[in-house]
Amino acid sequence: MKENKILTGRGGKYEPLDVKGYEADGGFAGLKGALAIGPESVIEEIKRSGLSGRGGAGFPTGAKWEMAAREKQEPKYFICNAEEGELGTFKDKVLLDGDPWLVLEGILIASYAIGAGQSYIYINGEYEETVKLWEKLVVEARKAKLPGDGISGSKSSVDLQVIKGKGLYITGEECALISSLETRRATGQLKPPYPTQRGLFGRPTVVNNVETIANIPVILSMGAEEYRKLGTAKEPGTRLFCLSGDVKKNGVYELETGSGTLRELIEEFGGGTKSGRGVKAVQPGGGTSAFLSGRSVDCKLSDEAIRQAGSGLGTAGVIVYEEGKSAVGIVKGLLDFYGRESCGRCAPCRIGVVRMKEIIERLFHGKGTTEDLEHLREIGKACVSVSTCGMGQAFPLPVLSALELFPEDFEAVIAQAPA
Amino acid sequence: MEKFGTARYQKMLNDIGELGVENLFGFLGKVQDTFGYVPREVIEDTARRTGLSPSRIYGALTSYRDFNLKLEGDG
Repeated sequence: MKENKILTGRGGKYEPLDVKGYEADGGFAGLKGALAIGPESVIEEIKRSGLSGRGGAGFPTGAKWEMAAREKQEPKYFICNAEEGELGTFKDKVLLDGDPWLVLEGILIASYAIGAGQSYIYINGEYEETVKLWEKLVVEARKAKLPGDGISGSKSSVDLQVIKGKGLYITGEECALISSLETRRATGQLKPPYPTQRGLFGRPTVVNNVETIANIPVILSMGAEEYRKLGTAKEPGTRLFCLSGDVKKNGVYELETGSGTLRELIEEFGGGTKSGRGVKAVQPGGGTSAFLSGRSVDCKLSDEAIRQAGSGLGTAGVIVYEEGKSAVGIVKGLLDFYGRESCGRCAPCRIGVVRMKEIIERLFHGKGTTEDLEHLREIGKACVSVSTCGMGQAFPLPVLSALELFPEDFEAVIAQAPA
Repeated sequence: MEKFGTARYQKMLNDIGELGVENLFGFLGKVQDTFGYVPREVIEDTARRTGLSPSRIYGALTSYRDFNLKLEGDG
């Protein structure tokens, strides 16, 4: 299994603010190509490439752009989502720091394709140095002569605001992110209307993840046909796998989808588990993805294969847990986090996460009963089916899958409980 | 971190050009990062400039972990 660095290959090859260095290394070929074929053909090309969103939900990027481009309302907005708050996910930072001009080029192409007047990049507030870098980068970009400058009548085509996130996990969800930019409480929203119809300030808005955006210039410079040859037929391209947890070497590895198995990723790139014991469980798509048991780690690294195994590729944040850990403790840790971060807009998530946390804590301290397990299942399923946004629909998945896969761990803590 | 002063705040306003709802969140973030909190007079002034109510801005700011309305450690 070998990396194929179509996105991360240029990382660190030029000084982050050096636009000439980027250009000398083949930069802006995608943007030039986009300007030559026009917005509609750009969207067609992205649709043909089969690119889907890399922020967790996997929505087809070309279709999203087309929906926004079709809307008549002006102005339109483009937002690059660099909030990246999901547990076990740290791939966007690699791109933002290592090859910022690639991401900027993607933002310019996207804004051009959908006809956005103003664009934003919303960066996780914990990435302080990255925010500083991007503020300088925008100044440099306005000074530099970029392809496309002057075509919209303005001197520079770069109309990008760098926004530093203010410490809430939920702002990674697109509707909450939009509320935040409107100077409101960050909360999920009922859909439809979708942001592509009525988004920021009620205008058509496209929100894309950093990794998605980094794919855009690459697709346009190599062509959709070539791009489709990478990865599997259903999910073309590469994914940045963030390997963390109980492995010897954490890191971000760019692999074509379907090019290997979870086991190979853990063993070849992660150097195996920390203690050398076997793998007990893996969360393959960030902290809100369902667990796979150690027996399922031979599945291929594609969303399709991982879904068949019972989870999803999500953000490709692969968190490994080794044998000897109790699922109760792991789930308690996850619920501690999500319990703090529920935005409180809808009842199932707001109440459900607290009740589930209480039950898990009771179990963890050896005071749980078998009825508690049934309650956990019931509340979890309710949250999944009726929560407003992706967070409420997803945070119970690890709990539900843990109950399914590791019932013995829960039984063990119940057996300790005084009768 | 700098001590809040009207002159410094005025300079920040000048740097951003025209303050509107489109850049308010980013601007308030800069105020927070510069002074360590968002003073009451800034909420009132930005409300006047953007046409939003002070309560709307107050409501938004108090919902974020990284916004403060008082300087930390200042009671």
